[in-house]
Amino acid sequence: MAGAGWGPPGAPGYGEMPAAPMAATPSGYEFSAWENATIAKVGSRAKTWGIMSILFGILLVTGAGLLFSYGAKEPKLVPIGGAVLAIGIQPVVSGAFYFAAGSALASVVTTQGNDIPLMMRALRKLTHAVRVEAIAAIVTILVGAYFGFLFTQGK
Amino acid sequence: MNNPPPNPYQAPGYPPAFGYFTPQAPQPPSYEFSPAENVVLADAALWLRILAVTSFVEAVVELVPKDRNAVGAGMSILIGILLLNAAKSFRAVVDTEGQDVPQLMQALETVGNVLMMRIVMAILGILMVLLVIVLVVAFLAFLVQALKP
Repeated sequence: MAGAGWGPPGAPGYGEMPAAPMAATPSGYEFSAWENATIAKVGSRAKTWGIMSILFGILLVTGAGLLFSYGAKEPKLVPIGGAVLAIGIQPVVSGAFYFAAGSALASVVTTQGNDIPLMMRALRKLTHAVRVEAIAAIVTILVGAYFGFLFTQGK
Repeated sequence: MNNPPPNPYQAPGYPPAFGYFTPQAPQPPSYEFSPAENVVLADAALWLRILAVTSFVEAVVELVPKDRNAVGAGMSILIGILLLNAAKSFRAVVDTEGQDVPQLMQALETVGNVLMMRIVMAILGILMVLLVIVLVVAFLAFLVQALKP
């Protein structure tokens, strides 16, 4: 007999079944309101931190430009300008990634039907930002240790 | 009496309806990340851990006797601990089953706390610089006034 036992929605004899939450289909998963609130909060903070990092980096790059321009008169300023430029590029790059991650997190909240792929995109950007920061920190530590070593040897 | 087999299309959190409907509190649907998504999460966990280690190294550098900066070292240690917690939560999403979304939310919450700490620290730093500038300008103005014949 058709419709014996449980059938899919709309099976003869049982009528329409209520739609179950689409937990098992990766592209159809929707974050709950509470999860969306958490994602929105982190997204907004990531955007704010991204803007602050970019502004700080621009300030440093501008300072480096000023040091280079005075470098014609005072050659000692050129390597300092180079160091400031190198330090200033990192916040600009990681800040851009933080801002992009924040925007991607915001799009997870505002769009529907694509939450998981958008979340993965946001996490990739967040990882890029963290990677840039971590590599810059490692380079800074190594360069600092090298110059510290030179300084102590010079003494 | 033969009971019908369980309904595969039933919403999670609701028992099969035998005779009469007995509702329970609906549970949030669980979601398991795919292997490709787990790679993204594992990558995030790895780099957050590396950043945490660099934060701890920064704290040690800030504590060297010549230029001791206890406040900065404390903040670096705190940020390092939070980053490690976030990394642990991201790793837990990959390693455990059945709690992927709550673990991800916990990780995001911790990353959000790190970002908030940095934002607050940056604002405090800007305010301190502005305060120093105002104090220096006020002091110079006072000197100019005092030195006027």
